[in-house]
Amino acid sequence: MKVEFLNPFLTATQNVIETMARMPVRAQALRLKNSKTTYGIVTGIIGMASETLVGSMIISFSEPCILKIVANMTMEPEKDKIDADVVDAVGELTNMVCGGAKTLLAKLNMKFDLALPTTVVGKDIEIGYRINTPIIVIPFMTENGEFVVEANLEYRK
Amino acid sequence: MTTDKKKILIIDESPLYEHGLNSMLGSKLCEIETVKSADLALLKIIRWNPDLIITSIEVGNISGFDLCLIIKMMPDFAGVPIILFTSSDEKCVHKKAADVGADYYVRKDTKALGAIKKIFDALSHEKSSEFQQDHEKRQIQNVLLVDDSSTMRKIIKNILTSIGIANVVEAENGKDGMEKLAANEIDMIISDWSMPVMNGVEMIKRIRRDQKYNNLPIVMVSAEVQEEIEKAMNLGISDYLRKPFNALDMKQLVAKFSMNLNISAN
Repeated sequence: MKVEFLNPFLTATQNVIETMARMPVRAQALRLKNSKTTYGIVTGIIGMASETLVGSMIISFSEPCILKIVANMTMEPEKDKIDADVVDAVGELTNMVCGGAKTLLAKLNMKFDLALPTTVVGKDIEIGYRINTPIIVIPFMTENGEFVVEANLEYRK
Repeated sequence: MTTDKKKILIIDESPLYEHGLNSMLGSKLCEIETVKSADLALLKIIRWNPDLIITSIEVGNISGFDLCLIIKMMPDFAGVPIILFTSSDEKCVHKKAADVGADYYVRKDTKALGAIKKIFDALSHEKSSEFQQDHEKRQIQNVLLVDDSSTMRKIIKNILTSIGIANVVEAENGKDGMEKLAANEIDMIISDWSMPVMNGVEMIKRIRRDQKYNNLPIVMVSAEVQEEIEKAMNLGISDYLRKPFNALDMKQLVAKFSMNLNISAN
C-alpha cells in the first residue's frame, strides 16, 4: 500500500474528531498490524472500492476514548459504558472519516465507492479482511486514550 | 436587526472592506464605518449603537477574540451580531471564535464580501437577499430531523434546542420522514443523505412533487463529497452542510432560513 493513500485517512480522522468532538488528536508513528482482530472495544469497518483499488478502512476506539468523544459530540454527560448510542456514534464517525478520505483521495484522481459501515463491539474479535496486503495502523492519541485507524487497500488483480 | 437603515461597524486596519461593502450593499441599505483599534471600537459601539459588528482578529492593542468577548459581556450590546474576520483557516481559530461568542466566522478571501452580504441579508430580513428570492424567511419553530443515526439526531437536536427551536420531530429514514411531515406542521427539514429504507435524496424528490412544500426549506447534512451534494442541489435541496460540522456551522445555516432565532456561538 502506497504512503500517499494514508495521508487522506490521517487528515480526515483528525478533522472529524477535532470538529465533531472538539478534542485535539495527535497521530503517532505508523505500525504494521500483526493480527487480524479488533484493537479496541468498539470498531467501525467500511469497505472501499475504486476501478483499480479495493480494501477497507477500520477505526477502533479504546473505551475511555470513545466515551469522551461521544459525550463531547452530543454535548451530553459521559456514559459509563458502551451502549447502542455509542456503537451508532462509531458508525457515524467511520462514515465521516471515510467520506473525508474519499474527498481527499479524489484529489489524487482516485475515486472510491463506499459501502455502508458496520460496527463490531468487543476487543480481539476476528475481522474478515477481504484482502491479504499488510495492514497499516495509524494510532492516534487523545487526552482520554488511544484509537487507531487501519487502512488496507490493494490494486485489483 | 430592524428594517431601518443598518449601521455596520468594521474594526480593521484597512478601509478596503468598508469600500467593498459599500459598493455591494449600497448606502440606501446601510451606513458603514471603520475604526482601526479595539479601544476606538468600544467607544464607537457605545456612542453609535451599531446593528452589526465585523471585527478582524488583528485589531491592534487587543485581539478580535478578546474584543468579541468584551462586547458579548456588555448587556446593552450582547445581542449585536458579531462577524469575526480572519485570514486563518485553522480549525483552532474557528473553535476559538465560537468559544468567545462570535455569531459568525468569515475567512478573508475572495468570497469574504459575498459571505458578509449573505449574513447581512439574513439578519436584516431584506427581500433583496439572494437566498430569499427562493426561500421566504419564516418563523422556524418546528423542525423535522431525518437521520438514521441516533447520535446525529441527538447532536443536531441539542444544537437546535440551544437556539430556541421548540419542537424537533425526529424520523429515522426518508419514508418515516414523509409520514412525519404529513402528520405535523413543519417549518424546516434537516435530512441525512444516506439512510436505509428511503434515502434523503429520494425523500426530497418526493416532497418537492407536492406544491405545498415548494418553499419549505430543506437542508441536507451529508459526509458525501461536495461535488455529489452540489449535483443534488437541483433536486430541491435548499442548502447543505458537510459532515463533519460544528455547532456554529449548523446554527448559521438554520439562521439563514429563520427570522426568529437568537444565534450565539455556544
